[in-house]
Amino acid sequence: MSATEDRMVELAKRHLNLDRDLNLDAGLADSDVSSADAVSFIKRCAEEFNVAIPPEAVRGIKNMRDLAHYIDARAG
Amino acid sequence: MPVALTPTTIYRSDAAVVSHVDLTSDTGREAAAFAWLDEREQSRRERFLHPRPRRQFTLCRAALRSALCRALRCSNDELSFGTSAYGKPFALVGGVPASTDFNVSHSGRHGLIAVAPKRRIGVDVEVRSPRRDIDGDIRLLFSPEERARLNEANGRRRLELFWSLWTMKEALLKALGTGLSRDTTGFTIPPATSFGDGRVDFRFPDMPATRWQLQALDDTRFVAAVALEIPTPSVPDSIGQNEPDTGGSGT
Repeated sequence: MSATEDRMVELAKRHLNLDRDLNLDAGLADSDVSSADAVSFIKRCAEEFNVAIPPEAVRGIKNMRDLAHYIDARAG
Repeated sequence: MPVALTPTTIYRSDAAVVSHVDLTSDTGREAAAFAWLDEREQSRRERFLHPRPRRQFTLCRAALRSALCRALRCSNDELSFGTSAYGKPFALVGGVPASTDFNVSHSGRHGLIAVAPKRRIGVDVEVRSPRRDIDGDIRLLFSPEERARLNEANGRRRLELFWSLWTMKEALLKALGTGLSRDTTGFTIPPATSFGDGRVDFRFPDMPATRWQLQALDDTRFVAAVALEIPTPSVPDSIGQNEPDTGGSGT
């Protein structure tokens, strides 16, 4: 697991009501994450990693690993 | 379709019907629902990793098929689905796009199916789950006006308002066809929809020509909302295309 993915998992533990370990390759719906939680979590990640994630980019983010790749590609 | 799988109507108007689907675990019902899915849907079902999302998809999709077959007067075998560029599904009968829009939402043990002939429609349902950091969520998800309203409320009332505003926002974005690829902080749900006044007109600031009717569908089990396009002479029938209006987000 990459350093970004590690930090995202920690962030997810703090902010998402998950009743199982986070599977980075599962879609957010498959992880039982509500839409409000998903949007809020993506915005928290943007703040945590100091990366802009515009709403139109959200459509291309299918799972947590996609989000980690998006962040890694843009983080300084 | 077996009676046990038939969704229950919870809202009906001249323009739309919204039905509730019971998503309680029941192996028999899920097997009966599975039989109603086509090969593509059955294969999609198998890709879900966990039982609950798999069950939600199976029961909702079977109930959607039942509702659409009734609305479109077609058989289950004739019905299939396409997807717009923004990911919103639309119905095809015999391979031809149908002029009926629909939308599906689920949360916990509750699914809602909204169907509207010749108008765009979106629906959202959420069970009243508590927030771990409601202050942070309010800051990240809502417009400044909505944040002010939420910050005036306390405790259970605040949580109720949180979900009420969120379901209306999401219903609108699903009706529009953009889903959450549009910023939820960039538009404001009118205050009249908060507690009691469950029905109101809405316009996106950057799309003033298109009017939407917002209707709260809350009950003791969940918070929910449906957004229905109000037709105007200048608005063409866009069902089956589902391309949203373009333009920047307003405030």
